[in-house]
Amino acid sequence: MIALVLFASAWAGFGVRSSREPLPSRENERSIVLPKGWTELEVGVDHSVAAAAWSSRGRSVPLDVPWRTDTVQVGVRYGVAPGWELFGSLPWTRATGYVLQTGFGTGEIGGRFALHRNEAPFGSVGLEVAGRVPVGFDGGSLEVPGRVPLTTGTGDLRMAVDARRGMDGLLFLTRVEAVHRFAGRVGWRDGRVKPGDQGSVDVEVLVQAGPLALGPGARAVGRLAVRAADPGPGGSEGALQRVDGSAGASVDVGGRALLHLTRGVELEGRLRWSVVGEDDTFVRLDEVHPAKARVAGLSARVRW
Amino acid sequence: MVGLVLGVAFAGRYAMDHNHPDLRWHTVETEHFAIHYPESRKRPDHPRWASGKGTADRLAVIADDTWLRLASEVGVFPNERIHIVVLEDTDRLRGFTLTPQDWIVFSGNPGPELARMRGRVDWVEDLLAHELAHVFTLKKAGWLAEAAGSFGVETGVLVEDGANQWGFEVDLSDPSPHWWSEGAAEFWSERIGVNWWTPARDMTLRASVMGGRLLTEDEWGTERFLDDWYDGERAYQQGYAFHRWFAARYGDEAWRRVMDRSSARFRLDWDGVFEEVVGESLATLKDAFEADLAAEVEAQLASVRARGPVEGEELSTWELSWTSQDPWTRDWWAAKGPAEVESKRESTGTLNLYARYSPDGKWFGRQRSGWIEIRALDEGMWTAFAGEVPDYDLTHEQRARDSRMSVWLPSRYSAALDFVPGRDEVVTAGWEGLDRVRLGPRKWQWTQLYRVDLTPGTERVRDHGGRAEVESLEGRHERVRRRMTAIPGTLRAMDPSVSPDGEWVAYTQYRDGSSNVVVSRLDGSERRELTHHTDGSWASGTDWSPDGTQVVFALHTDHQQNLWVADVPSGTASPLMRDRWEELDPWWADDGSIWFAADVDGVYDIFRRAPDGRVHQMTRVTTGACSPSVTPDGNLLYTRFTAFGWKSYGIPRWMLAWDDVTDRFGPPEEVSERVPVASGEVRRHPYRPARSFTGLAASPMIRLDRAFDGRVIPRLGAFLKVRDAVEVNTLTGQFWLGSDAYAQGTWEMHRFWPDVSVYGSHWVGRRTGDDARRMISTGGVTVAFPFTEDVAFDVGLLGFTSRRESDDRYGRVLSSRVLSVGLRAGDAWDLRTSNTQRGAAVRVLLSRGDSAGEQTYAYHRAEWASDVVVDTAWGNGHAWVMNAAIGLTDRPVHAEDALPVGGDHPYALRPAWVQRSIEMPGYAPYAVSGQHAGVGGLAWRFPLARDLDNAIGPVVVNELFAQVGGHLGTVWTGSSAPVLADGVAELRIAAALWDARWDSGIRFAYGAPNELDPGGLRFSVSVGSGF
Repeated sequence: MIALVLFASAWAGFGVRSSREPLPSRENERSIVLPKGWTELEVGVDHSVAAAAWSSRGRSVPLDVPWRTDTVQVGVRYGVAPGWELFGSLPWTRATGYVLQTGFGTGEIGGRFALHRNEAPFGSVGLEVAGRVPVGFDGGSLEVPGRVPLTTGTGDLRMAVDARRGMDGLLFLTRVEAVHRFAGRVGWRDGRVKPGDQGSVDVEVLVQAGPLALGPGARAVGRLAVRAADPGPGGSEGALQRVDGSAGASVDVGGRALLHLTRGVELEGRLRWSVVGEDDTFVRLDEVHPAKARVAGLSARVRW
Repeated sequence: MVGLVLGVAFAGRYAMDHNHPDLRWHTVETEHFAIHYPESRKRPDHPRWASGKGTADRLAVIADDTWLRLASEVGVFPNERIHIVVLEDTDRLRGFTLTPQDWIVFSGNPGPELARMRGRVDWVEDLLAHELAHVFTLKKAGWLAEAAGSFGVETGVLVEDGANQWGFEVDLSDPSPHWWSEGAAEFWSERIGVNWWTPARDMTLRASVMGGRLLTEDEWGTERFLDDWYDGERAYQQGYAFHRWFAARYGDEAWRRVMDRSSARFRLDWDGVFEEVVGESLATLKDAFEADLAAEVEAQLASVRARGPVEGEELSTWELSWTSQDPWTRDWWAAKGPAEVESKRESTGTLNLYARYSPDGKWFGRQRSGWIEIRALDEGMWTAFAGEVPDYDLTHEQRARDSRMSVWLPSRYSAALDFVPGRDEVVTAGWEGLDRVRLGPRKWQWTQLYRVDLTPGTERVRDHGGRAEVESLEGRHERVRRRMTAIPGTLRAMDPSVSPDGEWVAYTQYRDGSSNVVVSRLDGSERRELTHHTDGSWASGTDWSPDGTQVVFALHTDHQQNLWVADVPSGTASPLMRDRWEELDPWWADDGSIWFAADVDGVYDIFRRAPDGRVHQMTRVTTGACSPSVTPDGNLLYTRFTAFGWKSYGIPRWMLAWDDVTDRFGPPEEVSERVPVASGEVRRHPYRPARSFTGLAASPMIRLDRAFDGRVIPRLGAFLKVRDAVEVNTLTGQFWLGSDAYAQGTWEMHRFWPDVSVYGSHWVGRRTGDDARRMISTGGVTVAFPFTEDVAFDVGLLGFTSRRESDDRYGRVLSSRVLSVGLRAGDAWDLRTSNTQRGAAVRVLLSRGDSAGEQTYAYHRAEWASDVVVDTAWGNGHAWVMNAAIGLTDRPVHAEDALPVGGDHPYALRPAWVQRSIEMPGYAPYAVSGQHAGVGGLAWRFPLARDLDNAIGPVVVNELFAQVGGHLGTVWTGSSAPVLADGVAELRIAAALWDARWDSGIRFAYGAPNELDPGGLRFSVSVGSGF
C-alpha cells in the first residue's frame, strides 16, 4: 500500500516540483546535504569475504571457515528544507560461515544539516546525526551455535562531520565520525554482545572526468571495549559486562567509482580491503562478525 | 482489533458529497491546468440537475492568461499542472488551495456573503486569481519542500514510566503567517488587474479603526484563533491593505525579496524577514501603517461630518447602553473592558439584513445570522422612530403582544424575506430539507424557497385577575417546521419577493455559474425565467413594482453592477441605470421610487431614485449602508455596517438627507476591462482519476520515545497522502522505522454509495515487557453507507494475524477474522476519550470474531460508545463532558481480543491494530482488560481565561481551561469483576505554534486500587502534544 501511495504520487508529477532547489549533475559540485525537494532512493549490494580475523597483536589469523556476507541495503534521503535532509536505511543480510543466518540488520534514521556551503570554489560542510535502530535479530552470541546476532540490540547514536572541497576536477572528502552505543538491558534473551563506542576518520579523493568520478579512499577506526551478556536466565540478567582487552583499531583502504547516467540516476561501484587490524573482532555487520575482509559493492541511486 | 474497524469505519463520515453517484465528472485541460467539473446524469430540465460546465469553460478561457500574468509578477514559473475542482453540490462559499498539492477547490455558487463582504467581483476571475496567487506566493516563500509543507515535520518525545507520561511535540512548518498569505493572494491578484481595493474592503477596515477592532499583531498572524466576529475578514483586509501600504513605500520588489528570504532558512520568528529586507521590524512597520490608516479614516470621516451624518439609530425597543446620554450609564459603560464591550454590542446581532414591515404594518421581520426574526411590533416601539425610550407602562400591552407573536424561523445565512400582502405569511430562503426530517443518501447543501404560515393561534393568559384568550404564535422549532412549505422548483434560489397581489414570487436562481431572475406562482407553478444569462452574470436582490408588472434587481455583468428592470409580461430585461457605482438591494416603494444602496465615492449609502429619474442620497453614513426598505409610515429601515456587526438601523422620514445626486449617476467612465487571452489548445474528456493525482503530501515524523520498560526508541517515519483531484480515490499510508518497524496503508474509494475502504498493516517489534519479537499483520475492507452528514452505517471485515518469534521462526499465536456491523451518529470526532472537543456521538457495533491460535473459538460482541459535550445551564464557556462505553462478549477471549481500559497519552503512537483503550486516566493504558468492560464518566469543563491571544515568541496562547471529573466502571471475566474508579483534574492550554495547534496540558488522575491494578496517582504532561 505504501508503495502504491509512492507510485501514485510519482505518477502525479511529484518529481517536478518547481520550488525544489537545483541539484548539480556532477559529484564534485554536489553539497553534502541533498537539496530541498529532492528524494533519493538507493539500492545497494555488498559482498564481503573474510578468510581471516585480526589477533589481539594485530596479526592475521586464518579462519577455519571463511565468512561470507551479502548485504542488500535500501536507503532513502529526502531534502526537507534548504540545508536539511532526512535519511533512513535498512540492510538485509545473508551471512554464511559456521552457520547460515539471514535477516534485517541495524537500520539507521537521521538527518544531515548544512553547516557551510560555498559555490566558488566549491566547499561544503555538514553535520550528520543518526539513530541506529536495531530492527534485526540481536539475540545469541558467537558462543551460541546456530545463531548469530545481526544487530547491536539497542538504539545507538552516530554523529559525524563531513567536509568536501572541490578543486578543478578533484574532490577532496573527509569525514570524522563518532558512534555511541547505548547499553541497555533490552531484548536480552539468549545472551547478547555489544560493540563499544567507536571513532573513525575517512579521507577520499575523487577525480571527476565527465560523468565519471573515481578515486581512492581510506578509513581508520578506533573502538572501545566490547560488552557482553551471559546467555540464559540467572546469568548476568541482561546487564552488559565489559570484555577486557577487546578494544582495538583498524584501517581499511579502497576506492570507488561513480557514474552519472543522468542527473537523477547514478551507479556506484566500490572496493575495500582491511589492511590493518587489532583485536578487531567486531567489524561491519555488521559490527558483530570477525573479518579481515575484502568487500565489493555496487549501488544504484535514483533521484527525483 | 476492533479499534481498527472503528477507525476505518469512521472514514465514512468524510465521504465527499461531490462524489455523489448522480454526478459524472469531466475535465478540461489547458497548458497549465486540469479543470474538473461535474454534470448531473439527470435531464437538464430536472430540478436536481447540476452542472459546472459553464464555470469550467470560463475558467479554461482565462486560466493560462492569469497564470502567465501572475508568474511574471510573483517571479515563479511552476512546472506542475494545477488541478481546479468546481463543486456544484453546495450553495455555500467554498474556495481553498492546498499549494503543495497544486489543488484548488471552489464552489460554483458562492452564495451572497462574499459580494457583500468584498464588493462587486467576478467570482470566477477573482477566485482563480486569488487561489493561484496562493499557489505562486507560497511556492516562492515556502521554506519546507512542498510535500513536507502540507503538514510540516513532526518532531517529538514521549516518555512513559508505567505510571506517568511526558509528551513534547513541535511540528516544524512554514511559519509564514495567515495575514501574509491571504494579504499576498489579494495583493498579487490586484497586481494582475483582477482584484481591487473595493469600497466594501475599505468599509471593513474603516469600521475596524472606528471601533478599535483592528487586529493586534498577535491576533493578526494566527488563523486558528481568529474566532471573534469578522476576525477572519479583518485579517484578510488588514493583510491586503498592509501589502499595498508596504509596496507603496518600498516597491513590489520588496515583497518579492520577503518571499525569497522567507524560503531561504527557518526562523523561530518569521517577522525577522522584514528586518533583513527593509531594516525595520514588523512591529514598527505595523505601527506606521496603522497611523497612516487612522489618518486616512479621519479624513474620510471629516468629509462626512462636514455635511452632517445622517445615520439614525440602531433598532431597539430599549435604550442601548453605548448610546446613552445619562452620565451614570456613560461612565458605567466606559469602564467596561474591550471583551465585554464587544460581547454586548454583538449581542444585538452581527448579521441583521432586510429589516422590513409587511405592507399592512402588522409584521416586522429581518434576517439575523441565519434566522428570520418575525415580530408583531408597531413602528413607534423602536427608539429610532419614537425619539425616546417608549414608556414601559404605556407600551406594556404592546410588549406583551410582541413577546407572544415573535418567532424565529430557520433560514439560510443572509437570506432575504418578504411578506405576502394580505396574508399572515412570509417567504424566505433556507437550506433544503428544513421543512421535514429526511433520512436517506446524503443530500447536497442547496437552498430552497419556503412559504411560512404566520397565522396566529390562541393562548389563554391571565389578564387583570381573570383569563383571556389572546393571539399567539408557537415559536418552538418543531412547531415552526410544520409552518414551513417548500415552494416547488425553487432549489438553489435566493432573494425572494412577493408581488403586490400576493400571487407571485420573484427570485434569483443559480444555474451553472450564473444567477438569473425567475418568477412563479407561490405554489411553484407557471415558472418563467426573466433573464437568461449563461456567462457568469449574477442577478441579486429582487423587488416588484407597485403595479406588479416589473421586477427590479441588481445585475453584475461585464465587471459592472447596476440596477436592471425586467418586464414580467414580456419576459425581457433592460438596465435601469448605467453608471460606475455598484448598486445593490433595490426596494421598490409604493410611490414608484426605487431605494437602493450604492458605493458612490467609495462609501455605501442609501439612495432613492424617483420615477422621473432624479436620484437623492438619503443617508450620510460613516461606515456603510445597504438593504433599505421603507415602512408604511415612510421611515427608512436599513443595515449599517459597524465594527460589531451588520446592524438594523432606522431613520425617521423627517431626518432623511435628500441630497440631490442625480448628476453623480451619469454614464460610466470608460472601464478598462482586462481582456484575457484565450488558451491555445483546450482538451475535454471524461474525468480520469488515474491521471489526476495531486501531489504527494508527506509529513515526516521524528520521535524519540522511552517505553515503560526503559527502552529508548528512536523512530523516523512519515504520514503520506495522495488523492486524485476529485477524491474518487484517496491513498494514505504511514510507516516508521525504529526499534519496531511498521507500515500501514488505506485506500478509500468514494466512487459509489456506499464508500469503500481497503486497508492493511504490518508491524514487527517487541511489545513492552516481552523479550520476543512479534510480527502482526492486518487487512480488511469496510463498506460505509453515509445517510446524512452525521449518520453512517457500515460493515467491515477484518483479518488479523499475530506471530511470536520462537527459536528461528515466527509461530502463529493468534489469527482472527472479525465481521462487524456498526452505526454511528453525531458530530463529535474523538469517541472513547475524555477529550471530546464538542458535540455528541454514539456508536453501536456488533461483531463476530473467529480466532485461532493457542485455542480456537468464535465470539460475538456488542459495543456502545458515546461522548456528549453540552453547555451547562449557566453557559459562559462551562460544559458537561459525559462519556460512556460498554462492550459485552459472549465468551472468554484471548488477550488480543479483550477490551482494554486505561488512560493513554494523546501523543502515544500505536499501530492501527491496537484497539483504543476505553478512556480512564486513573489507570495506565491497557493496564486492565477483560471479556466485558463498562465505563461511564462525567466531568465539568470550565474556562479560566478566554480570548487571550497573547504571543510568547512564536507561541500564541488563546485560552486556559480546566476539567475535573471522574469515571466509574469495571472489566469482568468470569467471576472477576473489579470496580474501577478514578478522579481526574486537568489544566489545558489552547495554543498555536506557527499557526498550527500546540495544545498543552497537565493531568492528574487517581485510580482506586483493585485486584487487577494497584492504582495510585498518575500524571500526564503534554507540551504541544495535544489534550
